[in-house]
Amino acid sequence: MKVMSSDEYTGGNRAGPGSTGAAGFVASLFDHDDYLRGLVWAVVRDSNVVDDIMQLSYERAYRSIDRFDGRSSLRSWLHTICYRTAIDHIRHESRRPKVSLEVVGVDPPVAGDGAAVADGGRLDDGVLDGMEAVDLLGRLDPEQRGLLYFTAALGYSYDEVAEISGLSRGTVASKVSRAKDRLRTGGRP
Amino acid sequence: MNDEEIGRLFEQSGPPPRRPGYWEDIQDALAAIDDERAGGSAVTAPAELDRENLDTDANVIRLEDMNDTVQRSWDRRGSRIWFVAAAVVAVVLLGVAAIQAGRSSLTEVADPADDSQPAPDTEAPSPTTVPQTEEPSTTTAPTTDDAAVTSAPAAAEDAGSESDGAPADTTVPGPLQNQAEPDLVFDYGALVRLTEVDGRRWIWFDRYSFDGKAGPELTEEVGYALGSDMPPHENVNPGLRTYPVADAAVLHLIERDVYDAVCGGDTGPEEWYTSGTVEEMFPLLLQTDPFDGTGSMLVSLVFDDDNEVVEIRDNRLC
Repeated sequence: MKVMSSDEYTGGNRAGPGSTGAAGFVASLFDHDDYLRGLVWAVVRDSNVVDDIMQLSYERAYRSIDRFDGRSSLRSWLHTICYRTAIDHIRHESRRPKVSLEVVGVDPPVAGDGAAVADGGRLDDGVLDGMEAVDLLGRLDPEQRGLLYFTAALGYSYDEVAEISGLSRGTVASKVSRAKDRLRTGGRP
Repeated sequence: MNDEEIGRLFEQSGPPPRRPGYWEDIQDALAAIDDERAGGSAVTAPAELDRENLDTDANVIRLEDMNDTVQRSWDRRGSRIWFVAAAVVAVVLLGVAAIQAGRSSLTEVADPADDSQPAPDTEAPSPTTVPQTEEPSTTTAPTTDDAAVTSAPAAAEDAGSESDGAPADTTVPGPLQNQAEPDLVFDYGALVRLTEVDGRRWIWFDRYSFDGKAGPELTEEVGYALGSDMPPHENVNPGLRTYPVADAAVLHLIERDVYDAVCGGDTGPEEWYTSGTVEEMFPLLLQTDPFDGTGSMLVSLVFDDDNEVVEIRDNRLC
């Protein structure tokens, strides 16, 4: 299958050169899927649903592809849809009685955990192992993780994140700042 | 901790590997969408939102009945037809009422001692009198929002009035009250009815609880997800209540075509919303099938210092 870059994809149902319809659209996703999965994973932290959310996001994108006018990059547009879909999922989950956000792939905080992080040293040294990183990020709110992922992992500006998330720039800045504070304190609010 | 270090955190805790058949499943799903389009039935082109008649009196009048099942199924063309029909009926009935009033006056003049004659109702309309044009219904589908309304406290009943001028049930028991807590800044729940009384708009709002026992669970995270920095009110007190809507309030309404096509665009980008003042948007709201089968519309609200609703955000889900 031909792999098409975001530059080649110009929106609408006119996929790229040599690619049309679903096949062409899927081909255009190859370049972006890693980043998009990273975002969805950052938000939901639930290995059981990541693939489903990705598929749902792509279905939504494909259904509304006519609305993609090319003003933003395809990746940015897809990030918007994936982020919204992941947040939708969190909201749906939060509406189920007895199912709290904390159980969405995240163990509840245990007293004493993160103390070493909070005490400094290890984070600044950048020596957290994978499990510790999972634990620490899991202490953030889903939205905080998503916004941090945009700014820290993807390098988006606050303005870009504001456009993607539908929040104001100031709100994005404050939420990101709050998330960083929580990381500094070992996940405690 | 800088962005680079945080980026490393995400790298260290990256997503799980894709499931077997991941791409094939996606391709199949998208191909199915192609098939739907080719069939032309699964995803139909929804009606365009009517942006032409935003300020008509008719639309404002119909605020009273927005939760009527008939209105749910109205499209723009249908609403115009019904409006014309209702207006004609109203004019005829008003004429009949005027003639009857004239006869009643003549009777009183002829026999002022006759107490058996009902006195003409000369009282000024009650502050809670609800102007309403009752559209003729061709369906008998029950509505579920009535149950919610009847569970309301003081202002639970909004019977509305008949367009024929019949005296029955034109008031709600007790005036509408602002039931927002003094420090309320953000709320989340179901919009069950819109009412206009003496030029003042009110919403009937069913606040959801934290524990999910009275609708979707309201959490701080949900509040953030709804696009608000403001935490939900701590004094939950779920249940139906009435809030006044500020004249300058803004309504963010999901565009129906997007909602239908994407399904779940409740947290969609701003461009998925048609936004405007309540003056402009309430008529639009009436035409966008706001009640999704549950007899209400999921919304979030923002209040100003005067405890009036200044923002209504459509948060419908699939």
